[in-house]
Amino acid sequence: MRPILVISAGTCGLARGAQEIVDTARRYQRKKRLQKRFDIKITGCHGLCEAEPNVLIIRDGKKVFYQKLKPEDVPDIIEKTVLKGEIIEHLLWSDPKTGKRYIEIDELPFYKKQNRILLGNNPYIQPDLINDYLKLNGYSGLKKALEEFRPEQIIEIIKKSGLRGRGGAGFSTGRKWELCRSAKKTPKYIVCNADEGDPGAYMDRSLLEGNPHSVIEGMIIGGYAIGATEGIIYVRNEYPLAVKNLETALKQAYKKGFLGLNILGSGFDFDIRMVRGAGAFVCGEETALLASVEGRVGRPRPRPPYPVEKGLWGKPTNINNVETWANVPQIILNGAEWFASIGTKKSKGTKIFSLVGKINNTGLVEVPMGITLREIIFDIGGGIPDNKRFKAVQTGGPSGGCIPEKFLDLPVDYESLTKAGAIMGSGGMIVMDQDTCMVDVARYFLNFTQEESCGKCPPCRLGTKQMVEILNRICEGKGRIEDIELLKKTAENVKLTALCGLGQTAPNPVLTTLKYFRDEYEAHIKERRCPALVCKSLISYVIDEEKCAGCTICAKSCPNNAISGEPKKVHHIDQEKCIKCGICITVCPEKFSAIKKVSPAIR
Amino acid sequence: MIELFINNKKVKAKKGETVLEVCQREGIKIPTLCYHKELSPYGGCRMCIVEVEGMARPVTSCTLPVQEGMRVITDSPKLKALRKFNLQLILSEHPSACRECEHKAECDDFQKCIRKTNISFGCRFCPKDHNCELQKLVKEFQIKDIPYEYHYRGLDIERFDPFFDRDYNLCILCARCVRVCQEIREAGILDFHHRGPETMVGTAFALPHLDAGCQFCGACVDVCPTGALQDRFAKYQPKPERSVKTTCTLCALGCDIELNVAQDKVVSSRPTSSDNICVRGRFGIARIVHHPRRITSPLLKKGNLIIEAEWHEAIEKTLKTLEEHKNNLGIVYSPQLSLEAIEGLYKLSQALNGSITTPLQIYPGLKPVQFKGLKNRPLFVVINTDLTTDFSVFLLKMKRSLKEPLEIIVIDPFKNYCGINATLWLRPAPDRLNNLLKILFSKTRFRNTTGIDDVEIERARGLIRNRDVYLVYNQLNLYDVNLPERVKKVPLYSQINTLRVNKYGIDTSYYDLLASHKIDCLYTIGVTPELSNRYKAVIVQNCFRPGSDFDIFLPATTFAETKGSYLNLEARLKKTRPAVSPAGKARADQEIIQELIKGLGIKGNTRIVYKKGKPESRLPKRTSKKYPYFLYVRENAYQFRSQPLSSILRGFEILRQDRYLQINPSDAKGLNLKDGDTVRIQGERIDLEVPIKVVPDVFKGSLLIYTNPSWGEIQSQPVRLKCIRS
Repeated sequence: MRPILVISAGTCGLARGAQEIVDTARRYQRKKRLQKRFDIKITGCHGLCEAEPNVLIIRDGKKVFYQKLKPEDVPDIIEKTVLKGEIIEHLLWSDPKTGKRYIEIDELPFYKKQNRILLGNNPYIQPDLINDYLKLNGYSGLKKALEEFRPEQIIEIIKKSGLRGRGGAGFSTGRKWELCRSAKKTPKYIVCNADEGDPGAYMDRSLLEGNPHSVIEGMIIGGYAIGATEGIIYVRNEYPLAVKNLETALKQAYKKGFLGLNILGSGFDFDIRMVRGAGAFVCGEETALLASVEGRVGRPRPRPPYPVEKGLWGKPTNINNVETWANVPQIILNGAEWFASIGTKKSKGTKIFSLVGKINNTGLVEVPMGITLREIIFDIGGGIPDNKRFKAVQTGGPSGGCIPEKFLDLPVDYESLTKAGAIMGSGGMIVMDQDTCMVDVARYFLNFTQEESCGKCPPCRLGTKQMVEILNRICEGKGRIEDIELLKKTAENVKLTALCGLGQTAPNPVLTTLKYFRDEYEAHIKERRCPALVCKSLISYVIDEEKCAGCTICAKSCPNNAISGEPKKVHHIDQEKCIKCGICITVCPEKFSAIKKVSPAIR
Repeated sequence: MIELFINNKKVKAKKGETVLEVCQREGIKIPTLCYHKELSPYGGCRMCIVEVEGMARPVTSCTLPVQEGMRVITDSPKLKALRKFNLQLILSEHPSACRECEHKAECDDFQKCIRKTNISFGCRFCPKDHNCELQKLVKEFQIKDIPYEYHYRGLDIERFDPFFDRDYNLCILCARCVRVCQEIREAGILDFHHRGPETMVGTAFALPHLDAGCQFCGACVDVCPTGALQDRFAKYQPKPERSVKTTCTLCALGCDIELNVAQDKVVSSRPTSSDNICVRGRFGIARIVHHPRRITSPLLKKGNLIIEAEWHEAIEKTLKTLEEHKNNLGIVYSPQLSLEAIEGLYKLSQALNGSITTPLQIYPGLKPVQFKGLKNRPLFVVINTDLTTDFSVFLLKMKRSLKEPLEIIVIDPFKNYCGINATLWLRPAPDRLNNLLKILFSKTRFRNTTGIDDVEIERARGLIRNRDVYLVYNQLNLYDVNLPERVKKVPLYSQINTLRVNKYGIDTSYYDLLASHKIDCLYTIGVTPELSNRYKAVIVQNCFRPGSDFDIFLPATTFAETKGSYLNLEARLKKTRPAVSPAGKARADQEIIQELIKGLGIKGNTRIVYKKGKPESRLPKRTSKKYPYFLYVRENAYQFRSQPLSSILRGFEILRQDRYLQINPSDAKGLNLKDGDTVRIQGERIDLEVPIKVVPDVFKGSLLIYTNPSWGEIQSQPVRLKCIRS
């Protein structure tokens, strides 16, 4: 077999220059007439986004992983590793803590603890080539489903597998399918919710970009089981690559007879079309999504009736998230028992998380349910950079909650996360270190939800706005002691009275930070002090007289001329003039490190 | 039947009912704001939340379908607290300074009048004070303070559209206006725009309502629970005391209507619960009845002076004049008079051997409009008629009477609001309409010279094939159109009583009567033509002073002040009831006419001799060198007693712009004309000075004008234009 140079070029890779690597490799291959010596494969994201742009060289059964590449590295890689099998040491991934270098991708600690059922195939599939997918058992789940099972049996298998909705609420997928199948009205629809809007979460994007056929296959099986005639993939238009790859994949699936009339000779007809969302976070809520598909303003409506009874155009509609659909072919292929053997008692299978924030190995991780947060953050994620202290992890996107250090050994499953005040959500995981102010974090997320509220019900439209108002007050040092109670009461009431999931979960960041980090709120209000030194109104920049060498760099960089001092003498910051931009702290040479932040602010 | 438990009480309900509906029927009170019984449930205001056993959080009862064995709690300290919290949030955005004012109690009693300000920053300054649903709830929940920061949206009050003002600072986003516009009126002018705290109700691209195609039916104003939408006339009137059910006679439909009355004044009007009304009935009536230009006392001309007179004087003089000019009398009446008045006029005319006419064209054998057995997915082909502006309530009735969505093909070369939302809108060149009808309805193939794309025509033919097709049109707008035979026809007309007038007939056409030199004395009732002939005597009976000279003016009442009968489009007899007492000394038309009949000694039982309409004189059908433009005339369906509403009320002038001659831009350029210039239209039977409006929609070489009985009778004909420099 010819060696293969796999270039990861998902959106994350492209953002860090993967396209140049691709171009250079192709040009080099053409120039040196090496087309017959090795293949180039351009795939979706491999997961370790921190190491982008990266490549994988598959040669003689070995999978060599090179990271953080520049276009000028490419000829070397081709000449030495691809053609001769030599290893280029400095391109290998090394552990930031131990400095140990790893050659093979599977040996990396980042991948070792994962169970990549859904993402594992990404490095071996070029998304616009359906044959790559077929080679890896693609569409055999569909074949098996159509040939061996009746629709009711498929629902039974899904129910037995214990698969639960990966969109956040965790409703049993099999149960949902059953409800939709038993609804009387026809036609029935199924919808794939790919309106992933949580800041810092991109699991669905990676799946759709890297392995679109797995989602399509899942939907066809679902359509067969439910008795639906049409499937709709609602994907946000901000994912141009996912849209493009999906379009190609749909065309190929039609061409190969996996979609359309009489699929694989079974007599089952099914169509899938794509609807692009116009960029409203709330359209991830199922009823708002349906309204948007119908061409109306994307605003939720109260449930019941649920979409399984009254969905698209009043017909029964089954909505599942991208990740849920991608799980379906695997379950059919490998059996319900196999799937149920992974995970905990109530939460089965794996879950993809996007691990971001203050963490060494930023990326997408797929882990079995029940793994602890500590394992994800420290073993897979490689811990916090710069030897800083872990403070909290925020799960479930803007409407999730912040989980403090004491819960690090919490198993990750639906029930435990909900108990801790957070949610599984679609799988965002934002790690925060000691330099993060929790009041500021709550304010940031609430600001997001209040702007993205559809505006229909007062608790969400006005309640979140009032909470932001109170949080702004606290961060500006104008908080009143009764604000904490008011904030808590407002948050609880919004949670109870808001119309849809957006409003009902929006107060979570406030409630969890209030629960676990109440001392920070109190410090802000009572002492006018920001313990993490983040809130601008509560901090001051000062120069340590003992450390300052009078190099004048800070004085020259200050945009407001707030720093005075003669060369080789101690400098001084005029607090009246200081606008707290923080430039001085970044320009102060490391050997002096003379500028520091203090709180409460000096007046 | 379903059984469920509300507050631990067993209650029966029908399948498909909501919990709120059941509670309201059972007399269990649940506070609501966004709920409206005519509209689809919305679940937005969160006031009607109830607790249901087995559900994690409270749910809105307005959207919750009943289920067997369901256990619902509608009132508990927790629910009360949540509702109060919710109301406090709403108030944090709703100007309510008065709520916390220490002088509230005295203010309620003594200072009611200072509410007449433009900006509402508190209840006392709001036109909806004491009539506001939010205010009622606040009182009920005894909300004295709000723990939150108050936000004023700081939006400008939208006053640029006619008839109603919009102060979205007061809006609580209950979506009633949006829903009524979409669901009941099917207009879809309103929807939400923006997101989050900036969410607002408005039109697409925030256009003025006028440009967005709003027909100002006022349904949104009627359902608004707060003062956000304000009828510009009613907002300065007292709170309605009672409402009187009567009939709107401003068009041929004769809709049922309720007039809100306060202090013997019509404040506003609203549809009855079963009916819709249009802009004429909603915003026209109160403004006309209390129009500042109304004349409410008889006037007599003495020498060069016009002086106010007493009724007996005026009647005496009228009787004398009528007797004097017996045999040479011309009577012109408006079809909008009551049937009693019209009947009296025919008697008068017969007794005095006068000529009687009305500014309507007479079509012998006109039948009432009736839809019977509408099955088989009927298709309506509307020709040269704008159902959306002229017959909006009729259009809604058509839609309601069908199970499937209404399918309409509009054929109209000129601007047509109905065409915008129709299944298909074909715009042939105005003179190629017959060609289009032949192509669409005959089996033989004709060459397409209509200027319409063949694909569109094929689509239309496909729609028409094997269907029950109804041709809908306003007869007055069909100039030289040969309607296909063997297709069901639904001729519409815009003036009430047209059926009866057609039965009675006329002596001579309106044009001929005004042009006749044999007539010495003209008695006009409800019509005020500009007079070019010199008459020996002119008697005018109307609500408004005419533009031309007169000898006797008899002030008449409007239909809102008197009892009367009217015959509508479907040949139903409709009655009006007096809502308020007549303005000043004004008297009902039939009363005046009866007194004249009595005074002249005409016996009560004279039979009306039915007349035949005179065929119209033939006018040239083609343009010539002498008359290079073709003038198309459309009936103005917005009339009050044969006077365009636009000449009475400014709002209608802005909405309709029907006093203009519409001209194509290139024609206007050729004649060196611009918007607002005055031109003289000359033709064989027309000589008129009107301002122009340059409209790209109008085809080159054609002109469009709306009828105006004050100008006399105008027919479609070739004309020439003369530019008049001022």
